[in-house]
Amino acid sequence: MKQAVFSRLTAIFLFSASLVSVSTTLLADEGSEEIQKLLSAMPQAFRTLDYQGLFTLEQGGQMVSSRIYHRVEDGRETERLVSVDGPERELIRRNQSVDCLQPGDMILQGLLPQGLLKQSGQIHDHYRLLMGDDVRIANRPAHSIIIEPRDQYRFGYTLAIDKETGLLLQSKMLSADGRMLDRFQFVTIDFGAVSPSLLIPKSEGYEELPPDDCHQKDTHQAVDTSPWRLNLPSGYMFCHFEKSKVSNADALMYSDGLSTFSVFIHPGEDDDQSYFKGGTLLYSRKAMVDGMPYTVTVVGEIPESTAMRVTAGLSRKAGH
Amino acid sequence: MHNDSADNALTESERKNAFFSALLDDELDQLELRRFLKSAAAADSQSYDKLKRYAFVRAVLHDEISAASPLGVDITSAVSAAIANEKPGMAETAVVLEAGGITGNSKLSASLLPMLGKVAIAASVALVVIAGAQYRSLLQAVPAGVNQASLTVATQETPLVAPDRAEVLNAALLNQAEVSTEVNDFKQLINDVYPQTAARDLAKVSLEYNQRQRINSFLRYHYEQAAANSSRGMIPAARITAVDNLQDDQAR
Repeated sequence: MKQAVFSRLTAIFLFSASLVSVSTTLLADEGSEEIQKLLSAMPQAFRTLDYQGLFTLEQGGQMVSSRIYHRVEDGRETERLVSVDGPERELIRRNQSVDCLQPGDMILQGLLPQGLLKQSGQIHDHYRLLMGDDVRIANRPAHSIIIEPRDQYRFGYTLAIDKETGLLLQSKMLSADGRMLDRFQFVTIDFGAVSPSLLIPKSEGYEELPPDDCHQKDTHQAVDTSPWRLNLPSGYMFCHFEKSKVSNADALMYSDGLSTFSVFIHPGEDDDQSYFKGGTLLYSRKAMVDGMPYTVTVVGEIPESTAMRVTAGLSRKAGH
Repeated sequence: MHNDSADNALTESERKNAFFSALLDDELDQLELRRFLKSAAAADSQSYDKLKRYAFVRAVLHDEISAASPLGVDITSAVSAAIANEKPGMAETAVVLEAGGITGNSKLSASLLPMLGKVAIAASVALVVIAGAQYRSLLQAVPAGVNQASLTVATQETPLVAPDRAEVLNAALLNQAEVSTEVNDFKQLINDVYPQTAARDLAKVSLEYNQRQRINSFLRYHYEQAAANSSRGMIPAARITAVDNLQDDQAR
């Protein structure tokens, strides 16, 4: 008798537990189409609009404020970033087509060709997407999106997206235990024509950003031509490969649309290390490949578990 | 160092050089030091910066690397010689780079010299850069960017102490007790990074320094590439603006 009551109670408990989980899923799925639209619009908002503003970046207890100027003329964009505290930095991105799509943008916009889509999946395969309460950032009403990782291979985010323009106004990167790892945030932003004079670099030591890696809708020409085989967690798509000037290392880049990391492989044996600078992990491991000593270094806004997985069992592709 | 009448006979720059020399030789008394600091602070920041660099070199000279290095290169006399020839405004790192080059005085066989000379240069530069960074940390929080100091730092003017923390050094110099505590701490640090072992230990210091440089370069590279190759939606370019401010955190 006692046993029967117990099992009935258990059944009720299990049933209500499953109800709770079903309703959570429904909640996530209900908002996910709207969220997908918002995420999809973010890259184009940054490219196609004229705006100027002041933003802050907080990393590891440090904060740097910078001005941003962005202007579009004849379908080409120019962007200028100037730090206003700390060491002087001035960055220029010039003459980029507004139609340009970076590999990560294609993931965010759901524009991957079928083959790649099957392989890397979509944002919601790797993150739970939830609508938060509306917020106000830089004196503008914004949607809030809560993005929780579905596995231990990426961090979570809270994004605030401008209701009027779709531009990202705030991004907080969060560890698994909810600590804020870094925060990007506009303090002020004005939309509307930006004078060309504001796009001219003022400091002698200004830096040009490398040209964007542009892709066309529904295609992704970025073929992984590197000689290396890495143990990638699902969702991370190959973005870029080149021989870097740093120690002649092979430099590879991967992104799941929100989280991005680089892998550097160079001959020789550096000491193993793993630490964070702000929200960015720096992780080095020695690796023997075909009897030769290498050091593989992972740098990115990812948890250590991702770097451990990526570097474990590094090997060369057949024929390389 | 000199009496007043002698001071009057000397030009301003001769007087300063005499002061620096006395400082290095530990011939200054409290009163003279105090008087000089007062006039230097009032007169020009160049002298003041120079004073700060000399204070560092003095610590190295008097309390630390007095023994010949394991390579047979007498760093102390090499640094002294380099300082004697120093042109105004040169940074302490440049001085030590010269010092590393003076291997001709060593007792090593000629055939080994070129190779060991290279190790000595790299090692002594790395040593002093690291020791310098640690000495700084005694006086203040290490300023952002110290870890990024590349080997090219040897050719640059590098103030020993960030200007906004100059008062800390000023106060320390005026208080002999504090100075000696710091020098002792510095001695301990030097012993830590400069053990009485062979060249491979010095080479190791140099190697670790190179690794540090490399990983910092990778970080910059990652930020730049992410701006062009990941996703514009997340504004990765923003991180580049902050790269020079970043300090190491604990693992998470």
